[in-house]
Amino acid sequence: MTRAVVHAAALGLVTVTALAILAIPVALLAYLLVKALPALSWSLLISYPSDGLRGGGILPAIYGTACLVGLTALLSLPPGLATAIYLVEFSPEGPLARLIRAALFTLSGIPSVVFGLFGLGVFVLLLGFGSSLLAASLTLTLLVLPLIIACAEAALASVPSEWREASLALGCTRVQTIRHLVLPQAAPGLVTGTVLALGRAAGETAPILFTGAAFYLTDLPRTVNDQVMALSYHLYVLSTTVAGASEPRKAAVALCLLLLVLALSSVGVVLRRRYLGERR
Amino acid sequence: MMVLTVQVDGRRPKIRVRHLEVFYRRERILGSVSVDIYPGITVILGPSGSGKTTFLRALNRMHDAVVGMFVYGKVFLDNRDIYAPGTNVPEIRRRVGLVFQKPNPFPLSIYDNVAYGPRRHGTPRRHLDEIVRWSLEQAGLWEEVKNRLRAPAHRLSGGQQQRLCIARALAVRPEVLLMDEPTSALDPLAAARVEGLIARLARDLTVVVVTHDIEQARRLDGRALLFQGGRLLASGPTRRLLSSHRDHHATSRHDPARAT
Amino acid sequence: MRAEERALELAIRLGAFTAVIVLAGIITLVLTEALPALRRGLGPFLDTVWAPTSDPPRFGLAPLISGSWTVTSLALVGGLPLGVICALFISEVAAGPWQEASRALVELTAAVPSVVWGYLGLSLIAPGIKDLLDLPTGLTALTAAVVLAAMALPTVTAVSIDALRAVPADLREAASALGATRWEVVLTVALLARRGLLSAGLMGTGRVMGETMAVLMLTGNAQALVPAPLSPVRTMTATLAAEMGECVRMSDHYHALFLVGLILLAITLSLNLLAGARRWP
Repeated sequence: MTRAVVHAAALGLVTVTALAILAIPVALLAYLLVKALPALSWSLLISYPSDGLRGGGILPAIYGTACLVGLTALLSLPPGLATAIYLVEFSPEGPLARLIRAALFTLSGIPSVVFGLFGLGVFVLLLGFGSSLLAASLTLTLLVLPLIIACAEAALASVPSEWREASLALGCTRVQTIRHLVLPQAAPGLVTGTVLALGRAAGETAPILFTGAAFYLTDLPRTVNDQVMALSYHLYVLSTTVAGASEPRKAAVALCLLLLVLALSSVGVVLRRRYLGERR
Repeated sequence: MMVLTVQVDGRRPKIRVRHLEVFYRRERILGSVSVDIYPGITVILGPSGSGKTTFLRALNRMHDAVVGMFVYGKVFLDNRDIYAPGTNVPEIRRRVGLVFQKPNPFPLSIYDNVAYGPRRHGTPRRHLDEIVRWSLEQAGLWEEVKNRLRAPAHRLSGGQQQRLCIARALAVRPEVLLMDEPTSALDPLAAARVEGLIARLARDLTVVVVTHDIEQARRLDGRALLFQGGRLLASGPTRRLLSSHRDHHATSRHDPARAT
Repeated sequence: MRAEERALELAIRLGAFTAVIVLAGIITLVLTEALPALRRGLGPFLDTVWAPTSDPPRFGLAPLISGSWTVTSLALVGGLPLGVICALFISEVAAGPWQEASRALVELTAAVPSVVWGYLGLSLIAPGIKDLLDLPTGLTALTAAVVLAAMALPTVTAVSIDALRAVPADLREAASALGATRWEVVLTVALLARRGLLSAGLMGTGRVMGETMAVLMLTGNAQALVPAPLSPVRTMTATLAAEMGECVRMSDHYHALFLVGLILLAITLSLNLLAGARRWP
């Protein structure tokens, strides 16, 4: 065989393999859709579970995930924004900035179950919040913090420095400049970061396992001190603990969770491309 | 600390610079400069890299915002050293405005650009319209934009944007206006308009203009500061400085070994 | 005005500390809760069985570490080469819109929640492996490894793409000009980027080591001291997830679990640091 043919074949093999790999998320979605079809209905989304989680709907799980995600967004924005502002506007190269960046890099490599441990030890036990929406959201906040900060940093840095200079030259202080010029301009990028972080938070199970996820609730949570059901945890218990749960039902829950996460992530990716320019 | 003033043409200096030195990290890029700046036009001339912009920006403490820049010496604005500890720097910058080489209007409407400064300084809403109109008139832009104040500023032409930036700077009622090569990014027609504007403004303000264009310096008249290699070579009335410099050049032109 | 200004500035400076405080907090907590477990020495942890609820309780760490190692290495055998191949395709072969689309697909794969992978493993992979290899149960290290490989792919691919992109474009042109085939150019670029690709591998390893839910659902939770791909295993992460909720607070079991967490943290942090150090020399 000539060199050219062998090499072309090798390249072809790489291409085919890569295409197969890239098809995975699509195939996964298709698989879930097919399997979940018998169980898909509107009532699944809007009614409460019955028959020991085997029947009825998954409304509390959907609602719980929404609460978790919403509260996480709320809690993560202040520290995330403050850190990003410090890193971009105050002291990009100082020793503290280096320390913060190192801490963020390290945090992003910590397994999610360790965050769960921390949440249990500090939020549930030490601070006494108990197993609750609050403790679970706080835990998720810590998990998504590096992601939010990365996006917020990019958003702030994308504001041209000429505008900052002009504002300072008009006699404005740094805080005024940030508040009235930089932040409004960076707002779309900040939204992007939040959406991406929410996509991540919605799919997580380990951090909420011991901090607030409930197996079966008959009521929707009323305060932040209540436990919550969550799509991710619900899928887990259906797949492992609930005897006799039907396959279509499990697939439906998986599909629901996957669609939610993919929707948030896709929106985030599109927004990022639009408002943050450069990829990553 | 009171510094003895020397009056020129019966006017007192608005800004007195004493032993100004600017370092970037460990390298001295300007200094030591001691000179007086009077009301009216002062032109700063010199080749690229001679320290003109560095000097200009030292007059309103813009170097504070850059990491690695160190400024020594004193700059007296009306007898008070702006580099004294405890100085209200934003207030200094309000009194000493800066117009940049490349027009940099905010991504806001024309109105909001001009109103930005006054708003930040707490001007009540009801006065804003007046101030915006006055500033745009002073900058010679009012007639052109009065019917589209809410339009985005970036839709204006280069020359208009620069005049907008001047209006924006004027809106906070500065006493001194620093201009860093304000016409170098503009076409000749727009440049001429801005020059006319500068001459007019200099009747009420102290205007300091950095330029590399000798003809422009001649047209603007007033006083001139000549910089080279980070040092102030000479200062005095523009016409006198340029003619003596021209003579100096004339002799050196026949001697290639003494290229400036 | 100025007081408000100063308050805001202070708030920003304090808020910026959050990440550092959180990291310090995590390390401190895990350390303080793990250390009491060591007060009787390392002995109990050198046991060969992990059975904290039996009588007497046994806290052998070896099966857990072995389980994590087995699953991780199996996952990487598949995930690493495939991730690099995917990266090579995206960086060197795909053109324009195909590149964009491919990168988007990789990101979407990365977004798939761990528990969904776990479900996929239970409903498709586990029965498949059970039938294909005629095993008593489909819940084995191999099953988890297959799914984990898919989960590690996006990380390995993304980091590899960065590494490949760092190779200057002129080198590719030079190689072509010298008569190399497209395939040879690709190999050359890969060779030049090998340090970055190694980082990608390290980051993928860290990702897999720290994975919890898919592993919990697919490894069968019976222990194996000796690496056995076709048997159920117990990993450190699955152990934490399974037992932390149920164990008695402040008991020996509790502290032993934190010790497991400490080891897991140490391993993943080292991998992360190694990867990070190589990426930014």
